[in-house]
Amino acid sequence: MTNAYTVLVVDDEPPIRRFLRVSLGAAGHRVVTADDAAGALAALASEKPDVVILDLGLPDRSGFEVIAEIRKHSPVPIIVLSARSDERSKVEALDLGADDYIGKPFGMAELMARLRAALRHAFQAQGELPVFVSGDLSVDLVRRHVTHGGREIKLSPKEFELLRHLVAHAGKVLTHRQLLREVWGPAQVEEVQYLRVFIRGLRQKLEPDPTRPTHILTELGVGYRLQLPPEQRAPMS
Amino acid sequence: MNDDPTERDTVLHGPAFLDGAGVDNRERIASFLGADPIRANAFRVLPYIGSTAAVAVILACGVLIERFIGLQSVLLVFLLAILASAIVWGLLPSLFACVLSVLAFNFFLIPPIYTFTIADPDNAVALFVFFVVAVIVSNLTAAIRSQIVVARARARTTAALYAFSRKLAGIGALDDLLWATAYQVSSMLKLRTVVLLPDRERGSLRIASGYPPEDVLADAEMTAARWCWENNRVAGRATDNLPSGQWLFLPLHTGSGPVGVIGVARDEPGQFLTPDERRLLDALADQTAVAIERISLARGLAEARVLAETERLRAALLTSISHDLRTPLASIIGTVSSLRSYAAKYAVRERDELLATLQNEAERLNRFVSNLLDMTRLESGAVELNLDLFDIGEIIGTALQRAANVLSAHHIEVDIAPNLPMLRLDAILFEQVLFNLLDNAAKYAPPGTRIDVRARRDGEVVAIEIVDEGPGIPPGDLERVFDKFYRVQAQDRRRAGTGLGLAICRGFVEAQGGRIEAGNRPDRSGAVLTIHMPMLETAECHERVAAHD
Repeated sequence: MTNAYTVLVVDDEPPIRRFLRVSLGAAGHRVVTADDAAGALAALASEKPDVVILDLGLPDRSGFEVIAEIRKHSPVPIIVLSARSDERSKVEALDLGADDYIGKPFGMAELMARLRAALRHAFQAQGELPVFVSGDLSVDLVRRHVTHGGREIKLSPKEFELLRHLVAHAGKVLTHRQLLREVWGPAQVEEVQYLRVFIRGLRQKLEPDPTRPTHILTELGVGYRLQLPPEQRAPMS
Repeated sequence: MNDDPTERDTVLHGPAFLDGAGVDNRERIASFLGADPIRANAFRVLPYIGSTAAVAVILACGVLIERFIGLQSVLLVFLLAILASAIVWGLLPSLFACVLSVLAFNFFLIPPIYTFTIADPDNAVALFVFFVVAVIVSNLTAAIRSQIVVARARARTTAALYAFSRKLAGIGALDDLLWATAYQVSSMLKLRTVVLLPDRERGSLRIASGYPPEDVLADAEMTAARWCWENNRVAGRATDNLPSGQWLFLPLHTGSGPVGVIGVARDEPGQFLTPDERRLLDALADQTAVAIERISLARGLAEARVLAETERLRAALLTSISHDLRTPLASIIGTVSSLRSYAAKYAVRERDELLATLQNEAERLNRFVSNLLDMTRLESGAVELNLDLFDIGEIIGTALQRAANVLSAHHIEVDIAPNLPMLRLDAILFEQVLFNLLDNAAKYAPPGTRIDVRARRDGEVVAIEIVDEGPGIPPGDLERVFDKFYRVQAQDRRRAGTGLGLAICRGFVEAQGGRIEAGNRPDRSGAVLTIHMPMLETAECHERVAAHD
């Protein structure tokens, strides 16, 4: 895994494009920019970016259409920029195939963590490490063995399934529907209550303080995200 | 219309019958006003029968006592019947009784009896004198009686006018007022009545009410009504202006100008209004005009109050925006320009400090803009609830996570009671409420103090409390802290807040079916903000989930 990637930034606001170009460039990445959907699709074909940062409000076409269009040709990771309070758009973008989102306004550290998680998933999907370690939490996916501070944690089969999916997508947000489909099956995608109850159960077993979780983070109105270990959250450079 | 003590209470809110509306309401007003429907004066036979009966009774007595006393004395007894008729029935019946008495006395008592012949000339003289005296007594007595009757009628009219003005004072809605007026005029004067008001949109008059209900007037009548309105003078029947129609129109005007027109008509031909009736009509019209003006003034006053409140809020908004937007912007622009100008001269630590300021101020600005947006959403009714069952602990955790920067200088203690039921709420809105409360606590409580976040069951609700160790809230302001742009006045300095945070909290919590209230700690200084959320369908939810593990 090299540290230099090609990042396509699609946003119609010049200050945002400029700030991302400078910041990502400083982190060692090659940055390509586009200010509308047509430019984005053209750059996708010509520049072969490793990751796309896409604003949902574009002048020529809606960001959702662009996601659908990209997904027809390419599995390139897409990180969506959205207004903070617009949870429905976030969920819609994620269900259309976007990998993650970040609400405007955002900080660089947050964006880098998202980028890192998206790239990590895209480039390591095949060679996933069998053991996920974050702080005092350790999850051995092969031996189905979970420890917290060296102490073994007993999980029910459904709890382990849930944790396994979170670990497989560590750092990335997973929508309620995605988790329900993977763990409970396609017929149960609307039963968000099951998910909430099992997340509460997992937190009580895995979190030192379940009321202030540090591993399984809630993305209100969207889904859940397993926090990457601190060393992997640092900006790529 | 007695002076019922409860009437005094109705002046502000209107009588109880005004709570409803429509025809039913009008029937109640009618019975309340206690007047008769339209009824004309008719020739009455009863007094003449009465007079005849009185004379007959006296005649019978006269025949009986005639054997014991003189005939002339018996004649005097007949005066009683005439006096009684004059007192009870008035002039004409008593004159009728005079004639009847003379004839009866002559026929039944003066010899030769059962003839109208008078044998003794003494009797003829006595009968003549009796007749003259009787007519004079009739006249005098009847005159006194009619004065009494007029005085009574005036007293009744005055009482009715007074009662009417009291009723009008209690009426708050224009439609009810107009209807009551039309009804009152109709019943007191036995007339058909309409009330016309100016129609501002079309610049003409329209029929606003009538009794019996009247929807249209003939064109000629409307012309007279308009003339009356435009010239502020009476017009129509029995006046000098456009007298050809059925209706008489009087302007309703007050000291400050005309407010409408009242029209009356009587179906029967003949004299239209007596001077007394005309005076009564004028008096009723004056009272109505004053009442209409009062109602429009009250409406104007209410509009002015709303306007003043809007103005006040606008001024507060401007103050708030100019302060809360400009302060962080001033820091940001100042810091950035300083960094650009003197970048080389700053040590790393100084530069980091400036950059941290930059970020904090930008985040403050962001919070302010979010608050303004939330407030706008609340006020425009654009808050769409996305209610679902949530674990309150999860939402508290998310709010604490987002508020971590704001709370970095405080010590946070979380205490969530185990086994709390899930709550039906909108997670995004609820998290914003908790964030605002935490932000508020951090703003008012000094750095280094402790902020408690507690959730527990309290009867049928779940109570979520944010408790700080700040100065608390002045007891008189516990309600006002939820007003827009209200800030607790700190002795030392103005707090950097929007004055919107708690107003948004209240709006969001109430939208989700909860309550929020502010209080102070009993044990030490510090504010306690408590949210109460109802518990719903919790048992069912737990069962369904448990069945799926």
